[in-house]
Parts: sequence; structure tokens; C-alpha cells
Amino acid sequence: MATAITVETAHGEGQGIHEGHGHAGHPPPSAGVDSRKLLMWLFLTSDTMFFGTLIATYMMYRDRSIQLLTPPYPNDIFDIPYTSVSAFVLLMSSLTMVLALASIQRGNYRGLRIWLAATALLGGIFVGGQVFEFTTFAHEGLTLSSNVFGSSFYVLTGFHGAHVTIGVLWLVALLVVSLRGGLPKEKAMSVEIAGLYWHFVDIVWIIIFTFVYLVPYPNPVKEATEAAPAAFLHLVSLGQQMLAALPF
Amino acid sequence: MASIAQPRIEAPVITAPPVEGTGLWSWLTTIDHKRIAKLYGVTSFILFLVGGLEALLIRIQLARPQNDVVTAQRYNELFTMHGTTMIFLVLMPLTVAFFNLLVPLQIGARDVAFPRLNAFSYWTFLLGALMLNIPILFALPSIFAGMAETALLNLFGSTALGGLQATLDKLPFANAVPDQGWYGYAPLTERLFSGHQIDFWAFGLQLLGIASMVGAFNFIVTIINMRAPGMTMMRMPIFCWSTLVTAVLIIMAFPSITIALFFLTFDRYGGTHFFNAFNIADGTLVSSGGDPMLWQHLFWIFGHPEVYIMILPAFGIVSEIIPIFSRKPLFGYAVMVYALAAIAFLGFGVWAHHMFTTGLAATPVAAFAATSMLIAIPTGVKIFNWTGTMWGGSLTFPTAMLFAVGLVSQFVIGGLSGVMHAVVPIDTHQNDSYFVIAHFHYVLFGGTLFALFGAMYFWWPKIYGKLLDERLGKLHFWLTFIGFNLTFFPMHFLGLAGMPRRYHSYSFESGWWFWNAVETIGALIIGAAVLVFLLNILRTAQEKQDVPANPWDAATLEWATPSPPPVYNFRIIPQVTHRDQLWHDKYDRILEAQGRPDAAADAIIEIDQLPQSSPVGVAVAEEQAELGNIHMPNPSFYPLVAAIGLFLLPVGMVLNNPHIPLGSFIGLPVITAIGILVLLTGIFGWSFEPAD
Repeated sequence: MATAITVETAHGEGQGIHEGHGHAGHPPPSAGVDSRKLLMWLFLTSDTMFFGTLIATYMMYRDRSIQLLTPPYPNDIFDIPYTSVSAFVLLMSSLTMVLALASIQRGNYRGLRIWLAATALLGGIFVGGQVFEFTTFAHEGLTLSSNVFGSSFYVLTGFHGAHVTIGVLWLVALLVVSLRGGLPKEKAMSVEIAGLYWHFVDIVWIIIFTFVYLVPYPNPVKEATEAAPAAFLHLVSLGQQMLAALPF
Repeated sequence: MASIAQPRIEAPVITAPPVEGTGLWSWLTTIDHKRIAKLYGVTSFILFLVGGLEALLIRIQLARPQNDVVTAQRYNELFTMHGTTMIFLVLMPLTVAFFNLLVPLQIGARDVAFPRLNAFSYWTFLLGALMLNIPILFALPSIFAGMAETALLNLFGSTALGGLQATLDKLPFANAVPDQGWYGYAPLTERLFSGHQIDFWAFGLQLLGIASMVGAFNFIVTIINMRAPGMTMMRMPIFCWSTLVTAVLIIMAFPSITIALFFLTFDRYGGTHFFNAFNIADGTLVSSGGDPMLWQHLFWIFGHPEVYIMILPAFGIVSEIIPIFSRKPLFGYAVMVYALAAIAFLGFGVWAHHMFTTGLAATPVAAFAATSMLIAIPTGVKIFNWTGTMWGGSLTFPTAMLFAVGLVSQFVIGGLSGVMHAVVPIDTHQNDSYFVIAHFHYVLFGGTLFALFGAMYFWWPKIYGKLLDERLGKLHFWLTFIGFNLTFFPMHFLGLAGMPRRYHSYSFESGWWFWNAVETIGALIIGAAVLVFLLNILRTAQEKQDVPANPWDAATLEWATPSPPPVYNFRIIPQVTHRDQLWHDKYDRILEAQGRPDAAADAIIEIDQLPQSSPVGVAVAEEQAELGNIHMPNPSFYPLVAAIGLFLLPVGMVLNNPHIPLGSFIGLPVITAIGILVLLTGIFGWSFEPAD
């Protein structure tokens, strides 16, 4: 009967951490998923494609510096035990993130602050470790321009590092808001969405760590004698053609 | 007009009903989807005129053999800017204008899910368009001065304007117009082979990509989450489906070009070797191991879905218009939806057909040829379903319908030449010839632009409360149709005869002069058609009209709102029970009243009839309207602030160039730093601003 006429207020915008959900006037979402959460899932879909493109590029160039005999080579540069420790630190931060969300959902604000701080700290340690790693590699001669390995390695892992940095800033912002009393139990969604992002960044690191660090690289000297001549000669002939075409 | 969407009761006085503001500030801070639609529409129409002017200059240069209206360098710049402008600044944003206008109205919502994010999309788009167009706007005066000088010299032997072009050429940025083609193939875009014109192009596209992706997130959330009660996915207007599928394509395809442009920026500024196989170090050429083919792959993994990003909204528009003027529901609605999804899915698996001549191995070539042919099946399904919709209908042909049927006929031609490209030996012959130009203009002009013109005639009363003039409209259509076919059909012949793309001139001996002259005449007719359309807009703007809510007797919810709709769209959120809700409300109930037995199931009918027949219904509706107290989110200037911040980051990088005086002092250190500050201000202000 007449009650089927639905009167609704404006669909409020779900942006920002001040936004409470479920208060009068906000219609239930048609699909039953919070709009902001859906937005984050869609962003992560795009982010998957971002990282997919970066990882595919890395895989394409993975062995090329070895084939072309342009050092430094991955085997000489990587310190797998060191990076394993920082990967472990990042993975543990996913655990603390889960604990932070569980805390706010139960109304345990002290727990929320502790676990948010712990997650941000672990993320910060990871980023610090990456800065140290980059500095060390640069000292050993691997730069953005030294070879395609350097180019694709720094841009891929740097892009991931930028994601972690943004995540740390986000967690710190949530912590500050919580300390000022702006993050009650009803706004657990704000923490959940930050958590989605954080877990995604962690999962991507598992893939990057596997493909960049763990999957073995060919031995430079042995492979080079077999693979280099054909590829190199082809490129050199191309280069001579290009040089002839240059205006100078 | 019988409809539940706008119940026939006098609106009760609601406290402080939201009203539209006026003045510049209200436009700068607006987050109303209808106003943002107008902003998108007007901006991209102005850019359409710019891109059309570039096209006319191209055609004038090619009007006769050995012509020299513009130099070869300027010709490269013109076709680059024409392509980039028409794709990223005209067809895409014009469809986005209709997404903005129609999606909330068609699903029965008061706005999109994230209104401020929507405003941010627009401002980022505008500033990205500015970034791309700064150089050509400085270069056009010089081009025109050159033409005027030549004309005066030839006609009167006068050199009155002598030296003007040389002076205008010295304008800042006039010699920094992107000139590498819209596809920006590496290594042409590398530092070794190009100047800072590539930066305008790359950063402009980067900003446009952000705008598109943010908009796409917003529309997906809106369509999934903001549908009115009862509006199931399969009851949604087909235009909303095409928006949803297009938005999914955007969020999956744009990351590829974003990363490719990111690599390019690193190649140009960071010394990486993603796309350059060689580098000059200390004056000698050294191998650096990069691969220009990587750019082609990344570009076309984006670029082919981009084709569908432009055409699927057009399919949605036509699927809305044809049923209305056939007086029949859309034939095979569900299959049309599946076809949209199938085209989008297959669209990710065909990119290498743009690269058949680059020396791919035989297996990938065969696989991509097969998928490219496969995609003709769902597309053909759509053509047949439109025909099926018209079959047996009582057809009328106002301008909107003419353009819609125009799409169906012209797109078939473009689609057929598209399938030809999937046949690898033929593609090898046609590659980089005018046949390709003919193909994609039949798809994008005969397809998308026809649909967009049709959409303008169809929804103009909903946007502005006025109907465009039909007589001028029909003149507009026929001039466009004739001019379009005169311009682009002969390109098939020229392409098969071997005329290559992107060439600045051709010899008389080539035998291409006749069709080229015909094409230029056709292009001038298209130009005249656009002038007729402008005249139509201006005349309509001066008229006083009182347009009813539903002038076409259409079926979807946007026609249940007044023309133009109030800022809150629906005073009472409609309850949806059927796919073509307004037709159901108007026609099915007449049939039911005449004794159809299945009438009783619809609770909606009882509700709809209550306000007329019973005072109780009115009272209940009024009470609920009072309780609801329509409440729209506040305007906000933070989206604009954030977009300006984002814009300043690449401005600093473009200015950071030794050719620009003081560039390296104020560019990167100062302007980019200011940009970061402004961006952070925007984001934080936005986050902590109350939404409503």
C-alpha cells in the first residue's frame, strides 16, 4: 500500500572520515555494500592493473641486462636475507591492521590506537628499509640509468614504496583523528577501508618479492656467451640504421 | 503524464527547498551532476570547434597536390592535436557529459555517489585539456597569419602582412606543439628525438587519465549503489548499462597508458631506458636495452579498449532513442546487455591488431586476428537488435532519430572495414594508409559523433527546458550526413590506391588529386553543418518555450522530472517495477483496466492511483516528503583547489626547461612545490569538510 512510496533524503557523499553511516536519511545502498568501500575496491581494481603493467614490464626486461652484458646484474646486487626481513615486517603489519579493525569494531579505542600506531610503525620500518636498500644499491653502481634492470627495478619497487608511504600517512591521519576523539565505533568503516588498501599493498609486495628477488636469474657469464651475440648483433645493426637516419 | 515517479500531488511546502545558486562562484563550487554535465558539454563542444578547425586546416592543405598552406612541421602538429583533441577532449568528455546528466536521473537518484569527486573529475579534465592545448593556441595565430600572407601575395601581390608570421612564430610555446601523432610512438617521444612539446602532451594525457578514472569509479558506485527501490540491474535503462560497462573499461584500460606515460616521463627526466634501445653517452651511441615495442604494447592495451570507451556510450544513446521513435520497447534488451559486456571483454584481447606489421610472431598474429573477428559478433547482434526494434514499429524521424539511424547505417560501414583489418594480409596492405583513416572516422564520427548529436537533440529539452528547432536540425543532419560521406568514403579508394597517412603533401602524378578535392569539399560541408547547429542553439536559446516533462513520450525515469529538473531531481524517490516504467504506467494500465487478468500483481498501481482517488494517499506522501526534507550536499571549492594543485605539478615540470627564461629557477622548485601544497590543502580541506 502507500507505505511503498519511498521518501529519501539526498544521497550524502561518502567522502571523508567525518562521515557517519546509517544515520537517518541515508538510504541503504542498492547492492548492500557501503559506497566508500565499493569505491576502494574499484580503486584497487585499477591499482591491480597499475602493478600488473609494472610487473609485466619488469618481467620483460628481467634478464635483458644479463644478455646484453650491461652490469650490474641482479645476482650481484640483491641481498635476499635483508629484503626477506623487511618483507616479513610488512606482512606482520597486515596482522596489526586486522587487530586495529577488530578493536574499533568492539569499541576498544585504546587497542585501536595501539594497533594503528604499530601498523604505521611497521610500514615506516619497511619504507626506511627500502630507502636504505636503494642507497646501498646506488653505491654498488645500480642507478635508474645504469641498465634496463635498474630502470625497471627502481620504478616498480619505488611505485610500491610510494604506496606504502601513502598508507603510512593515512594510518597516521587516522591515529590523530582517533586521539582527538573523532573516530567512534560507528566509523569503523574508515578503518576498514584503510585496511583494504593496506592489505592490498602487502599482497602486491608478496608478488613483487617473488618475481623480483626470489625467482632465480641466469648466470651472467655462462648465459651471456650463448644469448648475447644474436640479440646484441641485431640491436647493433638496428642502431647503425638509426644512427644513419639521425640529422647530425 | 501518468507516472509514479512524480506522483500527481501538489508539492507540499518543504522547508528551505534546495535552489540552484547563480553567478561564477556557484559554477566554480557546484557539485550538482546536471551542472557538471553542462560544464563538460560546453567545454568539450568548444574543444570540438578547435579540433574541427584543425581538421579543416588539414583538409585545406591536402586540397590539391603539392599544396603549401601549412608547413610539414605544422601539418604534423595539426594531425597530432586533431586526433588527441577529438578523442580525449571531445568524444570522451561529451559522453561523460551525458553520463553525468542521465545516470542519476535514469536510476532515480538525486545525485551521483560522490558529488565532490565528480566536480574534481571535471576540473582535472579542464586543466588537462588546457595543458594539452596551450601550445596549439599559441601556434594557431601564426598558422593563420601565414595563410593570410600567402593569400594576399597570390591575389594582390601585396606583402602588407610580410613578417607577421615570423613575429607570431616567436610567441612562447608556438614551436612546442606536440607533433608525434596521437599514439606517441617511442622512440620519437624520447629526449633524443623531441623537444619539450612531448611534455605538454604526456602531462596533459596524464591529467585527463586521472579525470577519467576518478569519474569512472564514481559512475560504477553510483550505478551499483544508488538505484531507486525496485530498479534491478536488468530493469536499468540500457544507457546506464553502457555507462557501467564503459566505466569498467576505463578503470581497467587507463592504468596501462598511465604507467606507459610514467615510464616515458622517467625516460625523459630520470635517465631510464624503458623505450630507448640506444642512448648517446659522451657523443657515442650505446645500447641501453630498452624496447620501443613496449610502448606500442602498453599504448594499444589501453588504446583498443579506448575505442570501445568511445563507442559503447554511443550504442547506449542509440538504444535509448530508437525505441522511443519506433514506439516499441528495445528488442532483445538482455542480449543487448550481454553484447555490451562481450564487446568490453573481447576488447581487451585484440590490441595487437594495431601492430600486425611490427613483426610479431605468427602465433600471436593468428590469435589476435581471431579475437578481432570474434568481436564482430556481439557488435552485429546490436545492429540486428536495433533493426529488430524498428521492425514493425510506427516510425517517426525527428532529428534525434535521424542521427540514431545514421549511426546504425554508418557504423555498419565502419564495422565492416574494421573486420577487414582483422584479416592480416589485407591489414598489411592497408596499414598506415588512408583506408585506416576512413575506417576509424566511420566508427568515431559516423558512430560516436552521430549518436552524440542525436543525444543533444533528444535530451536538449531535459537539460535546458527547450526543444531544438527541427527544421534547422534536419538541415544539420543532412549536411552532416552528406559532408561526412563525401569526406570519408573516398578515403577508402585513396587508401587502397596507396595514399599514406600523415603525409603533408602528394604529387600530381599519384592520381590522388580528384578524391582529395572531393574530400575537402565534404569537410567544408561538415563545417557548414556545424555552423547550422550553432545557429540552432543560438536561436533556441532566444526562444521562450514551455516544454512538458516528457515531450517525446519516452519511457525512462528522467522524463518523469520537470524539464529542466530541479536541483534535487526527484521530490519523492520513485519506486520501479518495470523496465520502461513510464510506458508501463501510461499504457499497460489502460490495457489492464480493459480486463487483462495479470493486473493485480502490481502493488505499484494501487499506490499510484491513491493520490488521485483517496485523500489518505496524499496525506501519506506529504508526510513522508516532510519527514524526508530533501537535503542536498553543500557546494564545495575543495575539488577545484585539489585539481589546481594537481595541475601545478606538471606545470612546474614543463617550465623546468633550459629554453624558457628562468624556467629552471621557478619551474620544478617553486611551481611544483606550490602545487604539492595546494593539492594537500585541497585533500585535507575536502576530508574534513562536512559533506552535507
